[in-house]
Amino acid sequence: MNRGALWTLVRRDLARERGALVTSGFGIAAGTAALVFFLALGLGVRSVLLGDVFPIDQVELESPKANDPGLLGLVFGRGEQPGITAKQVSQLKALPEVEAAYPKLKFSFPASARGGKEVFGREVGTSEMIGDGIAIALVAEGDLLGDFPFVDPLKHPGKPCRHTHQCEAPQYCEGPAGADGVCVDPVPVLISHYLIEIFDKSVAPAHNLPPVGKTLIEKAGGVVFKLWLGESLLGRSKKGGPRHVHARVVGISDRAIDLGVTLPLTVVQRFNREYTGDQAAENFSSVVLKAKNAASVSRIMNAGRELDLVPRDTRARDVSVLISGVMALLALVGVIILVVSASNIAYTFRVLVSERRREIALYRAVGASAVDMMKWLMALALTMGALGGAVGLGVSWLLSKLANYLAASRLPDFPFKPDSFFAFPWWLVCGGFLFASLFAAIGAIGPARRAGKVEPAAALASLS
Amino acid sequence: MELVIEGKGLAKRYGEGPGMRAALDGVDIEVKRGEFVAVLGPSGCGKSTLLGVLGGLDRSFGGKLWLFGEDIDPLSDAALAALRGRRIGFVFQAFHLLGHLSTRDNILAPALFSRDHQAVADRRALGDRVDHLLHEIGLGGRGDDMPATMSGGERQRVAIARAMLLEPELLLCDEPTGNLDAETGQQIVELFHRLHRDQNMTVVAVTHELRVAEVATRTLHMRGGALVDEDGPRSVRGVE
Repeated sequence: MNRGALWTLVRRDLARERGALVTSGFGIAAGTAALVFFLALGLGVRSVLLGDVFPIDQVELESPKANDPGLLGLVFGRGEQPGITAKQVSQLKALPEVEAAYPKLKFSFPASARGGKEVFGREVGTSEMIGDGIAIALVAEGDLLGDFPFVDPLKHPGKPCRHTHQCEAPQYCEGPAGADGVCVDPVPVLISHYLIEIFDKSVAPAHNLPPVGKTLIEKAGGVVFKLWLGESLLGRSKKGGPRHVHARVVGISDRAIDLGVTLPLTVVQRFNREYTGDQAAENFSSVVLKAKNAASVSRIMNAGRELDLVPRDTRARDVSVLISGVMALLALVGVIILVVSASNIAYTFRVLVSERRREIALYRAVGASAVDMMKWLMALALTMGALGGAVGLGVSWLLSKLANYLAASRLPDFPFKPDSFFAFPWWLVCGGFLFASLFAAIGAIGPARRAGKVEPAAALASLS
Repeated sequence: MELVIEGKGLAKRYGEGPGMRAALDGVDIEVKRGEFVAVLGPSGCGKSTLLGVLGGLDRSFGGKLWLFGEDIDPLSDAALAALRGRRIGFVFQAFHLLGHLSTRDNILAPALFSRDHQAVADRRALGDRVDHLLHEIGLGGRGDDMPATMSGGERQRVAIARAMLLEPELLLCDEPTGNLDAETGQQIVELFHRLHRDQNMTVVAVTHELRVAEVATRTLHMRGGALVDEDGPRSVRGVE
């Protein structure tokens, strides 16, 4: 039987058994819609979480011996850990899987901070301040709140000075304590969303301070505070004289250290050299490696292991596993619906074959083979599955639009709130379509075999 | 003369044990090209079973059967189906027209499964063939009628046209006038006679009606699953 004849039979059946086929096809459509909707939701959320919140296409490696030195380490000189050398960074950067490498460096000296009058109405301070430095290229444009750039202030030095009062506000005199310096803009500082959350939810209420929001920081034109270097509540640095620099919060970034402040890398290198020594300035605490694609991250981690470096944060992988698990569960719901609809199709087709024994027998008498009859039933099921799948895909797409609309209009803003919670890659669309056809075909296999086994002589005789 | 059908020791049993019934009990039969063979016998004597076996519709039988000189035993289902579609036409007592199809589409049904792609590729020629057949059976211009709107005689004519679509060499008829009144039945018998006479078609008709036997070149009598008597061969008697 050629394809034209097959299509003629299928077309006739679609018109003739519309009611029964629509009922069976409804299950396929519902199953496909559920499967594709949940998978698209999972992929969309995964894309946001692993693309923006916990990027899975990058990994941060650090030396196992250079884990956070802690406050005591900073005070008692344990900050002089070997860390990651520039050579190691170059080696990692040379890996074919690596698109870019961004070293990070932690403060290797004690520090504290005081300021915030613009925001809080009075000076507030911390007895300890942890911080690190990152490459400027790591900071996204959207992370910066105002017009203040995230660059080393010494890039644009002002007039020579010995004291800050010789500089025009908000500039300050940058240079080792008691030595000649230059007037520069406040050191740009990034803070994390996490820090703001902690401050607003825990610190501010305890101290009767107003919550710090993004808007407030923007309004204040950049909160300026004093950062004390070389001295904190716990003690003083053995090298270098304590002094303060002016710092300005210029942005909120996920590249920023969770609890502390993040400065341009070259600034931290300078401070570390001043208070700890050359090694603390030249070796890095960690290095962020951006992979060419997510699949190559594990190879980068293996290469890092050979250099005695370990991943700093496995949250991305944990989140990935969690999302995969949730996606699998949700997809299972869709698959179960498809299985149920396949059994529904099996029932419908079984009835159809029983009702059409005479027709099948007649076709056999006029030249159809058993395989022709099976092909006929399978083609009908596949067509039904394809139509059900197409409807299911359309429904899932419409539902995703509705969900996005409701999320946009009803849900309050939150960090990383995406424009769309769904992703419909081509393979998902094709997969949904194929799954629908596959389950319809699975449901029809039994009845199709039965159709092939109809004994024409017996069927025609019994119906004479 | 070439044998179109050759059956030796054809046997078919229904049931097992004490309830077993022999529908065919060692039937030997030969049908030559161009013959019109009527198989006469009372209801339940195994006529329809014999026709099913001879047409390759029923393969679970004992004995040996050659169709057009070919042993059907080793043939695959597809090969036997192809042989049926290409060389054999069937006409049934109950017509077996498909109610959801027009007269034209009913007649065209065999073309759906034909392996002779050349024969069915030319749709226009096929359409002309249907028109010609409709004209031949006296239903010219009624190709769009649905079976439900037709009389029993008209339906049987459509079933005959369906059997003739691909110009088979052998026509197997199972009680073709069984569901028709006397006058209509006579018309159908005349139609068979004409097909046989004008197209030298080989016809085997199983029936319990003598009028079919009257136009046959040979009559076989069947009883209890066996051929018990044979009239002829004889020349065709006209029914005009």
